[in-house]
Amino acid sequence: MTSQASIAALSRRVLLAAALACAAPAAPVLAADAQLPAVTVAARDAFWIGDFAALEKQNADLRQPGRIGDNGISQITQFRTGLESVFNNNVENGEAYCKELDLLTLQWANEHPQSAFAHALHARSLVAHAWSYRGGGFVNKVPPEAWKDFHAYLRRAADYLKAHADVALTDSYAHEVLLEIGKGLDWSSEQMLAVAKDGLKRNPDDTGLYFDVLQSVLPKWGGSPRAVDDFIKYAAEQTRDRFGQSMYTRLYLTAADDQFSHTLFQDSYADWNRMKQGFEDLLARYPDNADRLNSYAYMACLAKDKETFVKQFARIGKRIVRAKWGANPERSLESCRRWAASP
Amino acid sequence: MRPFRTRLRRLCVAGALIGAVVSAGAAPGKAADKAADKDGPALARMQSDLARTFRLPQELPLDPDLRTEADSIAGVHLARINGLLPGWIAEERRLQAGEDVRTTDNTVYLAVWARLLNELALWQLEPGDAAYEKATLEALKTSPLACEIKAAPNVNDFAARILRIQAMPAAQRQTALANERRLLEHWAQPRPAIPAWPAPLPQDAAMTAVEKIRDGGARPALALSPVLAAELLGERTAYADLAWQSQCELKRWWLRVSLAQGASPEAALKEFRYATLIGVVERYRMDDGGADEGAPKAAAQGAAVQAPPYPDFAKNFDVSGVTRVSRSFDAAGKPVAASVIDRRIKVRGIRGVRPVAFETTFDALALHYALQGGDGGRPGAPLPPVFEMVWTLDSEKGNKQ
Repeated sequence: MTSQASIAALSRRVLLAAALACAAPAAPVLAADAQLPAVTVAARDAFWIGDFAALEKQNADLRQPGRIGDNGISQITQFRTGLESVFNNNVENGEAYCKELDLLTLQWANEHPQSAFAHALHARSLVAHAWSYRGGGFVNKVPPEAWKDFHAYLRRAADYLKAHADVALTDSYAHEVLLEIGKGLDWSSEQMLAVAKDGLKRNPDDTGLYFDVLQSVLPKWGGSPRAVDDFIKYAAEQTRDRFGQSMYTRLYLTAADDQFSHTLFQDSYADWNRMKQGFEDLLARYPDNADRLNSYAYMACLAKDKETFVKQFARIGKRIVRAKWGANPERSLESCRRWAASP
Repeated sequence: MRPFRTRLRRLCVAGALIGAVVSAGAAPGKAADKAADKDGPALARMQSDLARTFRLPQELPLDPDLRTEADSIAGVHLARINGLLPGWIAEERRLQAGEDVRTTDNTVYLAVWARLLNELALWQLEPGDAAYEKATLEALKTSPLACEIKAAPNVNDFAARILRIQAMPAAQRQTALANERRLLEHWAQPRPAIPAWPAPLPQDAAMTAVEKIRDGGARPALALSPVLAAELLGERTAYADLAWQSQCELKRWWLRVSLAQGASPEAALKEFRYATLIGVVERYRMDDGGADEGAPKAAAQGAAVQAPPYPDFAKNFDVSGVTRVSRSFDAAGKPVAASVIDRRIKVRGIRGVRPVAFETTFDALALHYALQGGDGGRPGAPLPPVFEMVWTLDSEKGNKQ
């Protein structure tokens, strides 16, 4: 799985799982810096202290063409991951925290009416507030009365963006927020794709939008394996000139992480040869990346491609990244090694 | 209101820096100039401690030119003060000899140290010229980085000022640096009268506003930053339990709220300076007999609340005086809020100027005592809403080791 995919997945998991959220914990907000990209840390720290001027500057800089991180992830996605960690901060009294963030971001937007980022950030705050009602569980785990607030906050966010569309939609961050809204309000996949396409017109490097659309076509969000495959092929085609097959690989890694897990090649239409080519494309651009090598080996194991597994596992050496080995990674890794050693 | 008297015998109990100064002073001299040689270790300790407050951490995000200029300003200032200190020791020795106190090297060194600490505090409170004040206020209003000082909170006086200058537009920096030079030149010089302590303290006023937000009541229009929202609303953390940066951020928030509510820039800045003042208690985290440790345990029902102990560092610095406390009660007559409304403090070695660095020495004790129902007189009698605590050292019997 790519880092972008894993961060997106982590964000989703936190967002979906944290019943209290707007909420990543106060101390953890400052923890584990070593594992986070500098861009993510800078965004998180600036937002945490309310340094909106710094956020504006970072956003403006990272929106420029070619701002891709050293593992193929767009830096604007890494930046937004930092923002997410503040929204997702898990506190005892989540409602008070969410309300204050709504107010704070609205003040910033009111003071800077020409800032697309400020408007999108406020809408994102409302979306985080919405999810704090719903929580991350299955539908039957959501308190019935919470749906009303969940939908009301999502609609508020949508209405806000609509009211400020002329400014807000000049920044693809607003499109990302719209996709979050659409996921919660069950927009059709056509609507979701239309939003993503418009966002990509504003910023072709904002590949995180593809990952947002992917969520909406996963079976657990009402989609299907066929819809997943159709969308991933479409996204790969759109990005082939710039990234080869790497988007195909990254999106299927996310699909595995968020839906299909160890049965990716049984339950979806993932094509191993194409994924393999995507890994090669990624490693050609970002050689020797430990995260990618681990994902490559894990996928080779799932695809029962022993030769590739042995080769990639040897390249990993001691750089095992357990998080890249799917659910129950310890056992997953162990069983892959045992399988590879068998005649 | 009735005065409350705490009479304690003077003890030579040294703590933290005091111990270091005392032990340094006790080292035997070997050179011909016995007095100067004897004072050398204590002087070195004072100079070294003073230098800490003028050291700019490498992590502080400063432009190289600004850092260079700031380091130069600090260097000139330290050289001047270091040059003055031997004279201060001689002067203090002479003055103490003429006073009704038992003079030792320790009493002299501690008195000089107290004077130095007070200069630090006076410097923190003194405003600059109009342009400097305007630029400082703007930096505080607009830059959250003003509280992101990478220095230890007890020695960040100079770093905080320079970081504010970093937040100013480049065109204002030279004027600001010139002010910094001028304000440092005021050390050891006669100064204009210092404004009175704000009442309530800005942090207390800010926390009152936070309480209203927590309770869903009328609130300031200005929202809290995420870190404050998380700690104060999300976790309902008490002010005293906040990290220093968060405390600073809360005071910065209150400065902006005050301005929005109509406070003058001068008043808002004065309040902020008092709120962030590094007094002796903050600087050395000495045992000030804080609410939990040194304060008396809750009295049994009907019994008088036990008098708080005299803080050790106050004994060493010979701090005495009066703390006046106001408190309010619930319907049952139980104290629910208290604030210090006046302080009249004396410190050995500080003459002709308010000992502002020491004025909060007894605040925590007094407030705790007030909230515990201290100064109750006869059991069952109503507690006075305002009372004074008089802090004196009984030296009649001399030092007790």
